[in-house]
Order: sequence, then structure tokens, then C-alpha cells
Amino acid sequence: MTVRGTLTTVLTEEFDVDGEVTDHATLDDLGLDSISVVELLDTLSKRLNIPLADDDMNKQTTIATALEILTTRSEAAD
Amino acid sequence: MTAVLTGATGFVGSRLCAELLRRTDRDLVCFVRAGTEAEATERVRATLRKQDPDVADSPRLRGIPGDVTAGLPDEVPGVTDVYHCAASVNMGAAYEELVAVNVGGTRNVVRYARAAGAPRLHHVSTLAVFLNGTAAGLRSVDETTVATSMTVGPIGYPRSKYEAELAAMDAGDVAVTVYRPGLVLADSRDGACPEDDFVARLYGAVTMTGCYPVALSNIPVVAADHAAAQIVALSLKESGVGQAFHISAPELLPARELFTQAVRHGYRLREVTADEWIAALRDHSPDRRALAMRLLRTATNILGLTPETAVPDVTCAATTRAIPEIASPAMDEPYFGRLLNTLARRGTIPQPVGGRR
Repeated sequence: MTVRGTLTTVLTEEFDVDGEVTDHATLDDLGLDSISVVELLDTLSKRLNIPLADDDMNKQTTIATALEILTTRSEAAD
Repeated sequence: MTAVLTGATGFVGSRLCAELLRRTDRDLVCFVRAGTEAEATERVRATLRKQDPDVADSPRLRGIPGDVTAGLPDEVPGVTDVYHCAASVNMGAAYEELVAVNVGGTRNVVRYARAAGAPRLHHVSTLAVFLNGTAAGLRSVDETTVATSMTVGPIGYPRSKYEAELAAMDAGDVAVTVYRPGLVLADSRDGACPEDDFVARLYGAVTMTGCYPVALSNIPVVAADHAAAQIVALSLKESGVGQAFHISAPELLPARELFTQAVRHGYRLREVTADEWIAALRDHSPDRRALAMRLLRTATNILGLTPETAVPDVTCAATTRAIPEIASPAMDEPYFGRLLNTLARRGTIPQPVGGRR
């Protein structure tokens, strides 16, 4: 699955995000609080098998930025 | 004479409010987020009834709807002093989440004070402006030490409060005094403390994991009521304009004592390395108590998980010199007992398994 596919699946299936996950939406817009963002980082780190720090994302991070972070880390891990 | 206060329903602000009513004969106008003046006044009184009932019904107290992020109401006539205590103190939040309230809010208050022709602005900041001081080359910090973007470091909360200080100092003809409290802990009178601050999260995390990290910092701590008493006493002095005061107990608290006090109170905790503690927090995720603690990047500095991140030793000599009459409550075993009892009563931490209560 692509990085985008994984992120969308995790958000909709595990973080109860309904509606469209658009690039300009922030995690806050999608209903995540600060604590859920750390949980999201844990989940993505396991799914994508990449290292992520607790402060790599926050509520104000947009989907576009999140994808950029995840893609960069995935490429570095390959 | 009238004083204006922001943040009057907050943990420190409400105690500041009570202390201003108690120590001065001024009228006190509080800007509060509320729909009507009656609602604004009642919100402040309701907060005071729980902790300072002696002044809760003071006729000199008046609430006015106002939000520091959205502009403040028309100037109150005859304002001599503006006390700015409203802020988001969420140490886990990102800079972007804090900047509007902490920096934008301070700019609005400065604008208000200038428009109102208030002679003095009292700005409540934080000693977190020196959070990264050790890495910036500071061994110790006193009231003459200059905070810089280096001493503040990259974390959102201190960054936003540092910029707020700069905004406060840029107040034109208004004489500004800055007060920098250390880590604010429970009210010494009854152990009242916030539900979800740094300390509540820390005790939630250590009681859940059963361990605490080796901690190297000596932390400037202050009981909330003592902080309010110091700020008000200092603000009533003629001197201190253009100056910063450190608001802290006279003795620094070794960070380890936060944990050994809990052990004395009956919690079974063992000391582990910082890496082991971080691993324990990861093992306990996704429990929200573990996740909440991991958000607190300031813990690396406040606790001092490495020699480079430990906070520099802070003194408050200028404060002690200016107000020798304000005594610090003892930050001792009974004090921490009251704090821990509050957290346990609320369910933030479990009841202790053994030892004294």
C-alpha cells in the first residue's frame, strides 16, 4: 500500500475520521487531539516500519506535510 | 483607583485576583470570556468561592466580557495597573497552537494598556524562558540574566512565552514589570492543583509505570498561592519598573524529590535510567496517561534527563531583596502529601498502596 493509502486507512479505520482526508486538512480539522497525534505516530511507525519521533507531527500538521514526512522517512528506511 | 486583570479564572490568575482584593483597596476589573457582565462576574466569584471565600463576594470585583485573542472591551476609566495573567500553559502544545493566545493576547493587552493610559503593566511570564539555558552555556540564572532565543530553546510553550515577554516590553510609555514563576505547584493551603498540568501528568505516568527517571535538574518551584502573594507584593512597590522578578521558593527542588516524596507517601516506585523510563512509557502506550506524558517534551529539561538538558540553577535574589516580608510555605512532606491526595481523590493517580497518608 502507498504511504497515502496507509495514512488514510489508519485515520479512517483506527481514528474514526469520517469524510474526505484532503491535503490541506490539519489533524485538528480531522478531530484528533494532541494525545491522539502521538498515538497516530506510534501506529504509523509500526505500519510503515519507519522511525518517528513524538514531535514529528502535531494537531496543526496538514495531511500534505504528514505525507511529506512519512515519504521522506520511508525512502530513508529503504 | 482601578486595576485590570486578565486570566482571573485560571490557576494562578484566580489567586492573583484574591490577593489583589485582599492586599489593596482598589476596584478590580477582570476580563473574562463570557457573554454578559453578570456571567463574567459570576465566573470569577464562583472560582474564588472554592479557594478564597473571604473575598469572593467583594463589591470591588467586577467581571467584564473580554477575550485577549479577540480584542478587549473599551477602556475602563482610571486604570492604574494592568495585570496580564491570561495564557495557555499547555506545555505539550505546539508553538502554532499557543502563539495566538500567548503572543497575540499579550500584544492586545499592551495595546489596551496604552490606549487606557495605564501607567503600569504587570506581565506574568515564566522561568521556562531559561528552559534551554544549560545548552546555551548558562550555569546559573539570576534576575539580571537576559533571556534569548537560545536560552528558550525550540519547544512551543517557552518559545511563545519568550515572544510574549518581548511583546510586553514593547509598551511605549507604559512601565512594564515582568514576573517569571517557576514550576507552579499546588496551593499550599489545601493542596488544590490543576487536573491536567505537567505535575498531574508526571505523577499519572510514574504511578502507572511504577518507575521514574534519574532526574538531574534542580527545579525552581513555587506554590500557586505563594506566587500570587509575591507578584502582588512586588507590584505594589514603586521600584521594579523595566525589571524581571523570579517567582520561586527560595530553595530549588531537586527533581528527584518530586518522586521520593511520592515514595514517602506510599507509592511503590523505582528509579530507572531515562532511556528505560521512555521505553516504559512506550510500552504503556496507547494508555492516554503514557501518551500525555510523551507529549511533554519539556520534561527532558524540567526533570533534567541528561546533563545538557537539565535546567540551569535559578536564583530569585532580587525578589527576596524587594519583599523579604513574604515568606515561602514549606515545600515539605506534608505539602506534597496534600498535593498527592488531591490527585488521588480526583482519580488522576491511584491511592497509595502503603506507607503514610
